[in-house]
Amino acid sequence: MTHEDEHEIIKKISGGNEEYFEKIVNQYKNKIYNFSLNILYNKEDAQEVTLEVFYRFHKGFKKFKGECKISTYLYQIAKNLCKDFLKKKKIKTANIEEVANLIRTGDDPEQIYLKNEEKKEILFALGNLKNGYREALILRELEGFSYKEISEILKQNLNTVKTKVKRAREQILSQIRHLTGE
Amino acid sequence: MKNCNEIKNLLSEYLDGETDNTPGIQKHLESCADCRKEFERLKKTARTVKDHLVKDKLPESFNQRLMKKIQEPCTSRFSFKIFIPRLAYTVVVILILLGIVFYVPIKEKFAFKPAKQIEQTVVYFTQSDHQEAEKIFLVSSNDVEDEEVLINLFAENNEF
Repeated sequence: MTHEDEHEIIKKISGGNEEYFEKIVNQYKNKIYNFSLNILYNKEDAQEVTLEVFYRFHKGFKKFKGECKISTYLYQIAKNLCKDFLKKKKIKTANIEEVANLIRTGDDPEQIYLKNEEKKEILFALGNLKNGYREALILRELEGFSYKEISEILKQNLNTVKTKVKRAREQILSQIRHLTGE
Repeated sequence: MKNCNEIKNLLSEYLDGETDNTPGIQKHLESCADCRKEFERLKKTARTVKDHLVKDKLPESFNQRLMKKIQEPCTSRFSFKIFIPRLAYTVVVILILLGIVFYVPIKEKFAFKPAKQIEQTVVYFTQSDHQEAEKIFLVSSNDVEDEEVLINLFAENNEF
């Protein structure tokens, strides 16, 4: 979807065209959900945040002047809501039980157990990243956003984003060296 | 020509294709085993993180829940409409508490004090043909500034 297409869509939604609003929801809902899930490590909380993101988008799109992409705007709302959630729940680091709950089971028990343990370690390491590092890394690895797009979402300058992604990887590496064959 | 520390600092950007110096870094990696090892380590970390991020799908009922929420009156816990009355309530409580704390000192400061009676001018009049005539005219010094004004005031009231 180009910026011009998005501009047209916003006009149509402003005109009360719910069909276009639903198009936006369907396009971005799982992306926003997975972003929130990797921050909050709780499915119910992530669903609630996702619901609130689109609710606010629907209520506030008249104020949205198209100065950034719709996706950027949605991720900005999601990021702020996740931050509020974590603050409210006074969560500063990952909860190992919540991380374990996210791991799915599969067919081969032993393989699944090993993979799950590995996944648990990585998610735990990710959950213990410094404030702000995790969001930057998740936006980069989960959605493949460019540094410029990440800087727009996080409202930080480009160099700050570069540093955050770099340091996030370094911190994770130091915790999971044994998993990367070190 | 950048040294190894400088190159290592740029490897994360290089991995993401976000550096301006791609040919320079590429050339350095071809000739430096240590930096190449560091780059491979970084690449593996990034891939490991990417592979293990949680990926899930929202339930089918999500859209329905969303439309229901949009159509309902505002009950969101994030709602500004709930926030404003709560804020107003908090402000009122704070004002009442401040009022109680400062009421007594303010009351004492602005309590009514009778006018100063620095001078009390007492005027007695006796009429020569009426022995018992005696008039006491008490005047507070707040009403008059000096004796002349006092006499004029009395004269007006008694039509001398």
